[in-house]
Amino acid sequence: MTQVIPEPWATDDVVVLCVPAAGAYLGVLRTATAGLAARLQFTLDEIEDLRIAVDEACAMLLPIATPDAELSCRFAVTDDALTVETSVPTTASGSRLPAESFSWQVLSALADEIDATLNGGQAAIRLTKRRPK
Amino acid sequence: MHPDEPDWQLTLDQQPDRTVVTVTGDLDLETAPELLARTDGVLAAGPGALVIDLSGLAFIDSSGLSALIRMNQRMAGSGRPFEIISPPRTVAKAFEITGLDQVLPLRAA
Repeated sequence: MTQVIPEPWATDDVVVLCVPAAGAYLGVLRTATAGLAARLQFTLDEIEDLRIAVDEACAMLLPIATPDAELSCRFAVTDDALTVETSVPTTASGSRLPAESFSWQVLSALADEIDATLNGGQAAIRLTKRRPK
Repeated sequence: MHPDEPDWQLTLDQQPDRTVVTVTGDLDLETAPELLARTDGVLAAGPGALVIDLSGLAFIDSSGLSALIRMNQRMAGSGRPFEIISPPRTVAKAFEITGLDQVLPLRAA
């Protein structure tokens, strides 16, 4: 089930979307990403970049998610950027996020900054796209 | 709980000298394996050319691109013509940023 959870400690500049960690929900996240990016005045090209980038980040996390896990997508908006942090619970250890993979290359071509972390049983990929001036 | 069926569709038009596969909607982690599975017979059996029509494709990611690379390799391996035609602008961009527009046999509309 798709849920939009307002974070009580945050201002209205954070949106968190949680979906089951399954490929069938990637479309939901792409649509949400495009909708949010459009409201932030990103250009059509940048919206498309973000749509692919979020999809790639999530698709990289799905294979290492624990069974029946939830995939969380946290969109944080600042004056100059949109940062999306995607994360799943995982039992993978070490640096198993595929930094040399095709997905990662696509992601790095589309976002201004990317970063992957794996700790505390949580795998996360964060990407940042600067907002149009 | 499952979302609605993915917004994608695949049709195979088998002509005497070639097969035209039309993919519409989204080609991603979920649907790319379907594309490979449903074209496996055409890829294996031949003879004849294979044409992938992407004019109705709304989205492609690295999973979808990987599927097309695999199809290209299999067709090249059996020496049969392979062509990917009419990708819309947003889809063509995915080929460009990955450099695959230089590798895969792409043809504009």
